Amino acid sequence: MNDYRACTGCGICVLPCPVWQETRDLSLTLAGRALALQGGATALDLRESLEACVTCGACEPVCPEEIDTVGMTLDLRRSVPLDLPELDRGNGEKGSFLPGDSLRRHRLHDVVLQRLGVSSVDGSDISAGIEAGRTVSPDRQRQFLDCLVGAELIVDDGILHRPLRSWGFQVIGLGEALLRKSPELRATDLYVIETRGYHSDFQRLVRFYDELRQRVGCEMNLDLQRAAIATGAASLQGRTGKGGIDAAGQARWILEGRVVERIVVECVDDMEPFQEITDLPVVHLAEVTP
Amino acid sequence: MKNCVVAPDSLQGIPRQQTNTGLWSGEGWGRFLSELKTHDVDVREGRADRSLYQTDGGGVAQGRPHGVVIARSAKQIATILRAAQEHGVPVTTRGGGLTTEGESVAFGGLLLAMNGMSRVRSIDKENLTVRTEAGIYWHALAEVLRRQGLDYLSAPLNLTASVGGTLGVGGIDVNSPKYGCSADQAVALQVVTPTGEIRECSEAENPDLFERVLLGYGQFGVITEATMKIRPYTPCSMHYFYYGSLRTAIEDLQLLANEDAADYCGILTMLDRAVNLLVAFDSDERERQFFSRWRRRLRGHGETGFAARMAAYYALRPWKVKEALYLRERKTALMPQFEPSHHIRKGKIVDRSVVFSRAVWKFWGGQQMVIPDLSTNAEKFVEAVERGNVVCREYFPHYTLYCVGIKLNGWRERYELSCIPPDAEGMAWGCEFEPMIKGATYSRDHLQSFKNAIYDIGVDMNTSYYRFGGMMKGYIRRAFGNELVDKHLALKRKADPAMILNADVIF
Repeated sequence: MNDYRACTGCGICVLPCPVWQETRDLSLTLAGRALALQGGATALDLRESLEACVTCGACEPVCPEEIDTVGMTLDLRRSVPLDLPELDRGNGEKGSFLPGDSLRRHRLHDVVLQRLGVSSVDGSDISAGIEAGRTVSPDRQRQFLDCLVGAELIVDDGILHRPLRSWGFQVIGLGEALLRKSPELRATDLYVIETRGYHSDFQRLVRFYDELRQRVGCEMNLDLQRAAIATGAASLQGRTGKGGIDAAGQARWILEGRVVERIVVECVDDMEPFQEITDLPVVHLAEVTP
Repeated sequence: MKNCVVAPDSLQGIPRQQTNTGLWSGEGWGRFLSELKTHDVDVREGRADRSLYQTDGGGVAQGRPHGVVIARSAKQIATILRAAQEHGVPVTTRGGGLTTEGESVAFGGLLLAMNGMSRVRSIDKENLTVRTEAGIYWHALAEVLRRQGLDYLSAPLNLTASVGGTLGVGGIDVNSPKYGCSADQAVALQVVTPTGEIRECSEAENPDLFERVLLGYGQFGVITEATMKIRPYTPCSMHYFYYGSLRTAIEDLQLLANEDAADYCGILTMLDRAVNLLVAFDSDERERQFFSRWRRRLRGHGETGFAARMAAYYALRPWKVKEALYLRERKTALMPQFEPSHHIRKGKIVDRSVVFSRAVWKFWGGQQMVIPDLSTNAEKFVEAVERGNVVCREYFPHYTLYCVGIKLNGWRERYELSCIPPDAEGMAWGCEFEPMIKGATYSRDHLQSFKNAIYDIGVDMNTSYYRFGGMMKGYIRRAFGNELVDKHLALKRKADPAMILNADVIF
């Protein structure tokens, strides 16, 4: 993949960007960062932009120049890490399922384990470290990797999909894993895809979800480019309540003009923003999976 | 070329320096800033903010503003323009930044980032119009309209062009033979004049301003809101016909457009001898009519028939193997991008404009882009394209020609100093000459010489050139003559006494 120098300023990446959707400020988008870097700006000059990004990854699959947009943003964050508290280390238990920090603490955690018949590994500190731009110690990384068992990992936390693949693991998202169990979905549903995992494996998953959409007939949080629109609630800033974007505003944009009767989410973080703006039932995919 | 004050020998091309604007000295910037601060206008002067706007889609012009303002309201822009008039500070407006001659690059002064104003205000489903802030990208407008089962009429293939920027210069698509240029879809505008007055204008209200601002190259005001015609959204069925001759393909394109035989039609070339005529339809009925009435009159081939002909052609000319391989590689890489499975439903393409826009950037985009173009009446079109094709061949190993018709609804004042050639009746014809320069390195002078050579054809044939950003300042008097340019210059001076709004773009 290419780096910021390949950016032509076409602006296509701006279109699905939730930060753009909220602010209409190019300097806070991936294109803004890439063009500013081309013009001689440094990571320090881009602090505000780097803090704004929710790393949903929608910019990456739509980029005609095939720029590693998420990698670029996370690399820059290593120079100016997000000022957010570190999370506790995992407990060292082994398994093949990595829940995100929110799901691990949620009542649905046990439901998911039951539906999938797996045990979970706590990698929240690793995930938060990567997202914030902090260095993860080699010892902790080794300890974390030693906890992962099985040929295929089910990873709820989308920010971990790329690094785990780069470390040689086969990875699928929680949504895809539950969809294999034939959940009860309806044509009147709005199905909300977890964005980070989706965009990290876009070429495969765009077809996977397109097939689902055709089969069920439901709406999805996809834009015209088939990028998934993020609420931003799953970002580190969204989870810690420090910065980020207005998740409820994003949920409102996802719902705008769509006539649905129920909202089904893959990521527990996406439940609250929808619950805040609508009286429609908002359920997690695990709750409609037998 | 009577009325032309330049020497006849200069018609063969002008030095690039003539089209470059000077860097503004900065005199008055401090006072300007102080005044804006009293009105709570946020002017950004940091390195990151200034550098991200340092070039445009062309990638050749390089310049930085003294400061950047993200446009937020007509009132804010009015404040800025009043202060700019008083302190003599140039203001450059920028939407998608897809100009190719540096028109949206600020060489000092203030850059006004119009995409800060990009919300849809309202949709009138009954009368099929949308009111939107003008800094919106066409794609973002499509995104909102699609949720309501609606679509805009016609927009540039580059969907990150802004609505306001497009209305100022033209805007064409493969459905321009049916709907005309994007500028002609405007029903009403909110404009901030260069002296800072906020005015609503339309054919009924302030019609002079309306006609000046549309196709006005940003000279006569900042378009802050636009009411545009829209239509129900439909997926479309597409067909490609292949030609070995550019002339034959153009003649067939003109036949289809003149007879309104298709909802979309245009030409994209891969090689001189591999010319692609795209034909598409919004309804099954229109598609059936085409195949029953028009298909047999077209001289183009289907894919299989054309592939067989090309195979025979290259089998007899083995020394052209490289060309054959290029053609095959191009076909293999390009066509799937135009028909991705997740955008196809029941044989029809869904969200065509998204697919095309990304493919255009992927295959024709780059750090530098030169897309000179010519616009003519029907009679001159084949000659203009063929002459332009010869120029392309001289300058680049590979290039694409993109040809469409542009429907005209009578003569309008807005066409006077614009992309629409004065002698076109009913339909104007446009061709973009797009070298494939991705991955290659060309000097700025090489690219400029190429553009000059294309525009010289326009001057020689007494015609025009079109689309956004195509109007080179150095050519405007050659193309239109002194009398017309001086008339518009006088209008500009009257509207913009300090000549601060998008200075040096055409005058």
